[in-house]
Amino acid sequence: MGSHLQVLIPVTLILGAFLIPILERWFRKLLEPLVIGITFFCLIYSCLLLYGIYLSPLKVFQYFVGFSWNAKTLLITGEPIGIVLQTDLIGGFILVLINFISFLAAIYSLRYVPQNIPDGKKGVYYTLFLLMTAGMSGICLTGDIFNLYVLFEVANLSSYALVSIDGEAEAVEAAIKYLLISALASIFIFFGIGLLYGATGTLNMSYASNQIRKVLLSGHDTFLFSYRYLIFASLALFTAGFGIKSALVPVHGWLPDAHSKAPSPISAMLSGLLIKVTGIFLFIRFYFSVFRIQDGLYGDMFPAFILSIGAISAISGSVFAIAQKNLKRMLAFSTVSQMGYILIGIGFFSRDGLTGAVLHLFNHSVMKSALFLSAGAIFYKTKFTRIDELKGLGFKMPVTCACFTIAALGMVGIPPMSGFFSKWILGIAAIRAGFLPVSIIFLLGSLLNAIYYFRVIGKMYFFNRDSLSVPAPEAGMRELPESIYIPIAILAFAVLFFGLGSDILLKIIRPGVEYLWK
Amino acid sequence: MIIFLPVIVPVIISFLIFLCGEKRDKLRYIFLFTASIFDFLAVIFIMPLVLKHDLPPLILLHTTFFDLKFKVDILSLLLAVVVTFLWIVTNSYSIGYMEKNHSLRRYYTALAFCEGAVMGIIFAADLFTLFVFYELLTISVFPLIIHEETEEAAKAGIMYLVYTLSGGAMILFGCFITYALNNGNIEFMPGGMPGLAGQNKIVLYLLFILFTCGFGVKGALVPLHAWLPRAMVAPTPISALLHAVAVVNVGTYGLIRMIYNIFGRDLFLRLHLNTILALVCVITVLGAAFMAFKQRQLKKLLAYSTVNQLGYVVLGASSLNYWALTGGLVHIMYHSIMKISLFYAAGMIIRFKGKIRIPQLSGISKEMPVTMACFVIGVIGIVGLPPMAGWLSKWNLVKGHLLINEPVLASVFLINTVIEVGYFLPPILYAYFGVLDESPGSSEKTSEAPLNMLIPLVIVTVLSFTFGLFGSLPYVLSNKAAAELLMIK
Repeated sequence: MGSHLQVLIPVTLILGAFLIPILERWFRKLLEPLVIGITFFCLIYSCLLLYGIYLSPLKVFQYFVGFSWNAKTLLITGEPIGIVLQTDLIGGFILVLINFISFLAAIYSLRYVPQNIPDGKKGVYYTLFLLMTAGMSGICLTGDIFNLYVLFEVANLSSYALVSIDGEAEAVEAAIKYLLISALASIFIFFGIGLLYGATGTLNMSYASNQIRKVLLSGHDTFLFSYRYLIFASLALFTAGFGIKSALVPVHGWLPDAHSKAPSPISAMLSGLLIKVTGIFLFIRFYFSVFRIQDGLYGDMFPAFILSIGAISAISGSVFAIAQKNLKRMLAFSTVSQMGYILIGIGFFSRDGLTGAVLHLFNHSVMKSALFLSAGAIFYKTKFTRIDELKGLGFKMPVTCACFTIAALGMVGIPPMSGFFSKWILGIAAIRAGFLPVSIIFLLGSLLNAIYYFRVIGKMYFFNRDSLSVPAPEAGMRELPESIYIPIAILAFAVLFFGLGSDILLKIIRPGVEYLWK
Repeated sequence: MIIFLPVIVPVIISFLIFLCGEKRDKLRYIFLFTASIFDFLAVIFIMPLVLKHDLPPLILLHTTFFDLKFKVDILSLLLAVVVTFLWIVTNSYSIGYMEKNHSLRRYYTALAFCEGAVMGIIFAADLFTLFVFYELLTISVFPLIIHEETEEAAKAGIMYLVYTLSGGAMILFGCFITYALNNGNIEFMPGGMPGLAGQNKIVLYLLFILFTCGFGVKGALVPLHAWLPRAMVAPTPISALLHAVAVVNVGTYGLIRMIYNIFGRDLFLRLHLNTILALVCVITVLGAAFMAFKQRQLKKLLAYSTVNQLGYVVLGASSLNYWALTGGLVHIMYHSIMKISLFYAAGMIIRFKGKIRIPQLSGISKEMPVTMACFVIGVIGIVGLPPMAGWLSKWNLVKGHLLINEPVLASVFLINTVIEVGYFLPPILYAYFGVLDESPGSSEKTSEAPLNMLIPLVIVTVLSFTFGLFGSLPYVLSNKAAAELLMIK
């Protein structure tokens, strides 16, 4: 079964991206409505697609691009020649997440961009924004490894440019650093794809997966050469590449600069989506759909390695975050530690662990976007970036600070915020997989998170009202334009709602995870 | 569903109070009383059902990873009755005390929300549900502690968070270990969780330490008590209700659940955990008693007295003896009622006379005779002299410990009585025999607090008196709860 929506979503986004320069030249007023419209329709499309996949008996949609799907029998090797878009529930779920966050970020950009980005760059900004969304959406939809790589680069290249869009020296420096390290990741991944193709002779994920299984089980090793080593090498290259992209310690160095120097809606997109889609999601895609590590053909050391990388990231990311003085840098380091949690969930290679990881991916995405957008709102209003400057801000910007607090409590893992429930599930998964001591990491991480998030909350609310560093607001002025605080409020509400409402998400994730075990 | 209503109604009403805004006082107070009175009536309504074991557990949410599950047994009922009743009384007191104060919206929102969280903890059927509401309580008490927004309040609030969040993390790890040991079932079981019995001793000791430290933070076991006296910087109704009744009792409630429903009596005895816990309690009781001597502020004195008295409850629970457990459980109720009367009296003195330190109390009995009379009656009760309520619980505690051949532990109560008399004497002596200072504003005339504060004080004082004289509802409930926990028919 397939659906045209699978093609429609990235194509709509890419078409939009190409329309924007034209609109900017002749119909400037239509620019923002077009972006909002496109992201909104893509959100609707992706929800429909997810619903369709959920209802379908096989829990997967396949769409054959470039050839009729009756003609696939014509092929010699039995594999499709063209590109196959193969979307399972997990992919569809992440797709909805991507379009949800990008829709909110687009609304947020309405007022944020004119204030903080040079006027001539508005068209470029929206073009890149849509291209990045298109690339990420495509990654979730595709079932072809090379197609995936192309979309991966589309998303990445747009993100390099977006980081440096305001043209300030610091941002450009951050973007170059980001580009150089990311290019390294791209090389690893590209080389990994080459090796994989050499070993399996196909770039279709499900066929490659079958080939890998055959190679690993056959055991026909010659003295000099074995396809088995090719597969191991490509697995190692993918791990390194995606590890860099998901900013795991010790290859996290590019992230704090890039995510804190970018404009806030872009920070939210980068921290909330890009590193998850191009990092963590691809970990899931390759480990579970292509290499099928869950079948246990790679020995015990590999999961242990993944777990330890995750644990190191989870703890040291938080420790780095404590030392930060800049709010957005602190949030960026917090992302590093949360990536560690998610990787731990993956590292169990169990159904429960993956469920927890995907749920935490979702929750963290929502929470971190809320935090970055709040930080952006504070910057929009007051130009404050340092944590010390936030003294008493809770009394001047109550809505923003309340949303920030809700999301921060979620990051710390206080019930009933959503962050607690995904951490609980990760902890339970650790126990069911027989790694009880690993659950200490989550607790320790929570306490470390508490240290730096409560420091910010404390600054916001609990200081002498007379010694505020914030100038008193002018009478009759609203806190913020609606287009800035409504996205934040929606995200904060989602943090609250998907706490006890995480049941709804689990209903989608569980069958998706089961599908990967088939 | 009737079990869940006392939990959710205050939470909903706290949102309504939030929506009321800063100005609409009347509407806010109507909401406030609706929540607390509703809760009290609901608890009274389910009481006969619980006593007949006629109330099925409520599974609100069921997933593969966690359940949200509520169940009421007699222990929960006992705590629910005292908390919901004192909440109504304190609401009235609070309105008088906080009049013309700042940020009332935040204050009352948090106050109403706390009731929901406390009821959630008390009615929780498994560790997960308990933990969720436990952390909710932690967070929702925070705005109340820092209400004054002074530097001192901020420091106290941060200290409180450090203590309770670390405690929460320990409980969470305890939950994980329990989950692992008991094959994924973390529901409270009468007689303990069966999966724990055959496990590695070291893991069980670790579990005990985690839960004792985790719940001990809120239950203010020495040396985890330090946040409690510091938190006295909060407005007095908060010190009274949360730091003498709700929050600290929730901590001891968690410890009782750990002893009887997680480990179970037999396992607890076999691992000699009762001895360890009793030792901690003795340190708590005597340590807090000596620390109380050093206090010069009335509210801090009361805080240390709370730490001291909570040691009684846990000591009674750790004895695993019917009489001592009855004494401990009934002491939860009696202590709450008596201590809240002391806090009310102290609060009136602070609010209307601005007197915080004990030497300042000189001659206050002439100004506030009713308040001071209630204070003295409260002190007699706390110290445990007949015919006050405190006597009854202390008698049971001593009797129970003598029955299990622990004269040393029994004598702790007696020694403590003497020390308590010692540290409660200065305020009373100052109040009755001190000379009224001549500072402006003080006079020989009686000037009591307004009635909406005085009546709550008189009500709780009269209650502590009557409960002492007549074997009453709390005593019957505690008897039944003790029998249920020990599984005696």
